Amino acid sequence: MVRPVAVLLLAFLLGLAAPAWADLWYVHYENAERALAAGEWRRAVEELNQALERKADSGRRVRSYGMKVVDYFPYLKLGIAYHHLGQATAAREAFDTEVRLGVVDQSPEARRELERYQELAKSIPPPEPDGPTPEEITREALAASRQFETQGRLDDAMTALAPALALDPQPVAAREAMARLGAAALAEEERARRAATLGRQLDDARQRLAAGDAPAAARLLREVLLAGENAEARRLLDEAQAMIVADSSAAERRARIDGALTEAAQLEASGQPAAALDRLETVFALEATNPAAREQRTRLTAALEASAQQARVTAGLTSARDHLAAGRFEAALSAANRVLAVERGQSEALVLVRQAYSEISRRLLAAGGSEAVNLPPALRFGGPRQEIDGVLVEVTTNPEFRLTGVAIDRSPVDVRFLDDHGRPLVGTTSSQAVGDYFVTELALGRQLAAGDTTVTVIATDAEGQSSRGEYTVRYRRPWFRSPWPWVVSGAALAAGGVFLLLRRRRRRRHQFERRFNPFIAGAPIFDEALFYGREPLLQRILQTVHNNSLLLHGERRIGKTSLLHQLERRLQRLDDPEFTFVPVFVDLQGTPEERLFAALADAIHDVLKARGLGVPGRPSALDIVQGGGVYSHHELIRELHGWLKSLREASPKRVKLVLLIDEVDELNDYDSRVSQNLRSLFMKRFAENLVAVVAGVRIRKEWEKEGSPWYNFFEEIAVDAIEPEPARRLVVEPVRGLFRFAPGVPERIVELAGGRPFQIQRRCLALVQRLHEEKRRTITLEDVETTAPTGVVSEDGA
Amino acid sequence: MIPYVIGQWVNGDRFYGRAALLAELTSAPARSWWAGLRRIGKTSLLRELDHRAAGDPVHRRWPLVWDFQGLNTATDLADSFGEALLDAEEVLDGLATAVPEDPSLALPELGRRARERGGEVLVLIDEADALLDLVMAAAPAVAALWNALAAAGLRVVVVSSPRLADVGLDSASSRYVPGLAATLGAPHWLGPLADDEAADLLRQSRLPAADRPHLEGAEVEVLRQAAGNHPMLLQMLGKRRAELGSVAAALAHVAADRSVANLFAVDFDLLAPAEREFLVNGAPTEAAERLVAFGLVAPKGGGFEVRSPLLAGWLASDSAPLLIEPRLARQ
Repeated sequence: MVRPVAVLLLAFLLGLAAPAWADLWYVHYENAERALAAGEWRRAVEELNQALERKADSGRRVRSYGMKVVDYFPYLKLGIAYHHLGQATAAREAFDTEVRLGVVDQSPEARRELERYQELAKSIPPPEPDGPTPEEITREALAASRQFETQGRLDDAMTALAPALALDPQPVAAREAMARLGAAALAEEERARRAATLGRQLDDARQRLAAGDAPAAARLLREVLLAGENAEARRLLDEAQAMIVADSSAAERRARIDGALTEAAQLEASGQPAAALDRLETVFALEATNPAAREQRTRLTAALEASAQQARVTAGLTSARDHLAAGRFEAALSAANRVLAVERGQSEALVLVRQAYSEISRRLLAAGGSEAVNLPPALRFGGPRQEIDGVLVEVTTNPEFRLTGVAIDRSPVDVRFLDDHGRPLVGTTSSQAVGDYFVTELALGRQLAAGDTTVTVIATDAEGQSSRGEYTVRYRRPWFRSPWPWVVSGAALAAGGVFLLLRRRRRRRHQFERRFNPFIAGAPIFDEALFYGREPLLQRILQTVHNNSLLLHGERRIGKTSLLHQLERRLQRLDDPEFTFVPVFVDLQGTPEERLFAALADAIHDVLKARGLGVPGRPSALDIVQGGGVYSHHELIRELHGWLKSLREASPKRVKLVLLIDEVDELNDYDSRVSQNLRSLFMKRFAENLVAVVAGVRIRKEWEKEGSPWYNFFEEIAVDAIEPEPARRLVVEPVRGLFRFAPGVPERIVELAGGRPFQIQRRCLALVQRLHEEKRRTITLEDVETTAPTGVVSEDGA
Repeated sequence: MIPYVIGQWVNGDRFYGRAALLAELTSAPARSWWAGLRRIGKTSLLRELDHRAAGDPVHRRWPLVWDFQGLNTATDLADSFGEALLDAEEVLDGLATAVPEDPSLALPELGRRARERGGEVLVLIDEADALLDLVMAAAPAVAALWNALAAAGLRVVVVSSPRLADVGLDSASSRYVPGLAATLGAPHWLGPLADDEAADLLRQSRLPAADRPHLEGAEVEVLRQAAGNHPMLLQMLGKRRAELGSVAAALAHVAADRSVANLFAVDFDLLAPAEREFLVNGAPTEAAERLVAFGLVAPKGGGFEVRSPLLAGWLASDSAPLLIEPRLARQ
């Protein structure tokens, strides 16, 4: 009895399993390989498309079933199938896609096969077009469009132009014509709409006048007059205004004006702009130049216009979508272009335009005899994966995971992300056209739980063809992320913490008694503890300065000098495996041009001397100049030769002398030859050991000129206000434990200072002084508003 | 550390590309002239020749890089020559000891000494556009220079922008440079890198594998095409990709970078009027030949297309026509 039941159960399970088995990517891939071996090319294409729909990222040694691993190069195989079907363009496209995915390079055998077929594909000439060439289509489209435009048939003109842009969106003439036609069609539509409503509005105004509602009538008539002069509307408006004014004494008029203004304000606040405009008509009738009413009318009119514009955009998009769905691509294009004329850059309209162009282009190419095979989107993931038990897995000890990759297709693709249970996840994508392709970058952030997490990515192109990829990440939670070590160490730390807290309180009490004020205004910040908000900028510079000279530009007092000083310190202690940095800070402020090279030379020599590499008995170059002698760039070049040689000999690493030059704007006032001479330092052989980081305010514009010796020499980095969070820390942390801030105070200080560190320091300096004087410990909003900032004020009033 | 270099010249391990050109220059005629647009890598080409010559065991060549930027007078010319000798002191290996200060005398002497040692001096002249100013203030010095450069024992490579060719070879121009064509011959045009060379630069393939930026094949292709293989744009795009972590962000950043717009504007200004008109209007097509050589456009489907989408974007931008029209009007 047991045996038949087992057989039945097995049959049932196999019955369940069979469809799922048949639907796996590797089953389709195996089927495709068999089809290729048997020369069944069409079946191979079908199977490969099925495989790609389930797994679109190529791979070397990918596990299929059991412990079996296969090399998975679906685009290569697809190309081979298309090649044998005589579809050379599609074959080339598939081969190119496989190359773009890059993995094929890891398999010499597959690479050779790919190269062999690429050579074969090259030998097949492209198909002769049956219909007109793209150039002929473009020429005819432009001519037809111009003819329709001269006849005033703007919609027809836009439709006629579509094929030209569908084939190639680059030609300037066609693009400009389409933009012009879109705007003209919109204006024409608006004119027609106004003409159609003119009669209705006049009738409506007459009826309202008859009913005694003069303000509403006046508002309608003013709308009519806005579209153009109209004698009847003008007469009726006079009549309406006379009705409003009639039988009013001066006092009554004043009261009516005030009342109408109040009502209009209330109506505006409650979102009734048209009714608010009605009320304002009473004001205009009684006092035509009332400034409050005019200002409110401008605002209300703009709001109504924006609302009408939004309605036009919505209607246009709906129309474009409907046309597209119904296969009326030229009409869809026309509607979407009108939306773009209303709102330039409207994102959905741009997508619709692209889809319409794509469809028209496909139709044109198909008509021209070209092959129109659509390949499924290709997927490539960015993370570092390794093969574990035949499965590609990224192993991480960081719970913050970010999946990145690209999808490559002929059109922008729609990307969906699914979790292990098939639930949708929210990621980001951005598409970029590259030649004939679109590369869609995809990214997804996830917080990982211990163990394996798999994210499925489904990419769907404009024709609805999909492909899918899976990315598995294994999170190995480090011991320190487990809760128990923290419980033990937390208890131990708590005791120490209490002790430290008590000691710190005592120290702060002393600081308060000594009227401690850590803020500085006027001088550069040397103390790293007071240097906030520039870490990303410093990191960017430190990542770059090995090979590049940099120009830091920003307004006065924004912190450029402090940044250079901090950079000097960081470079001094930077333990780079390859480079030895020798930073030299030079401030050019007040340096006349004849002393420039002497100032640089002495600054460099001082640094070398501190490293034990100075030249004994060397006279100061500045002394030479002050004594009437000359120290030019020739002398500096000669000295630099020797100094850099000494540095190279003294260091096992590559040497970089980093000139940190502040107030470089001084160069603007020098003879241009001085700049040329300074630049010539960086053209010399020893420039391999020399970079500069210069800071200035106005220098950027001067150096953008082609004639400037510094043209495009520096990489420019803007020094702006610091971010709100570090700015808030700059306010709070220097006095933490000493002073308290009422809610909103740090943010208000940052706001008043515009995020500029110098201004923050000035305000905080004054506030701390005041609280010391008043023997208080809490800084209030009132303190902030009533305390003037102190400190040195620069020439520009900062 | 981000390995890309913007603005500064490169050589040695940081120099990518120009393999065919470097091979050609090794056996080129004794004097050759290469003209290219701004930031296309002219100085780096000379510095790479300098680097290779210094370490070349086959040809005995002593390199001397001579920067002409800012030269206005005969004194400038002599001073800059002195600086060049100082700069090359180590590689000249005593060859230039006690040569005259006047380059017109020193160069033949250097050539003579090099021949005595069984080699030649490789004179690498950068920023030769300065000749347009020098010829107005010191025409005899320029004539003497041509004589000196023709001396035996010297091999000369000169780089400039196309303006030197367009103005300096035009005998009707007030800045015509007599002797330029006779000494250097016709200029060769210097264009962008080859596809594989551009990809190598982006990948920084000479670095140890662990130090290379992580770039997918598709990303390299996107960046390479966006730059049109222009070395400075490749370096900028590579650097931004490394800083911002995404190709899309890098492209957006570089497209909005004022220095890139400035580069295009200056390059545009260096072109002949017909070439500018071709870039704007697609005609006349005969103007396309040099643009192809400069790598600004490429043949496509019987016509031409602008190679770099960044340049195409600049040409189609709101600001470009404002920059273009006054220039066209000036011609």
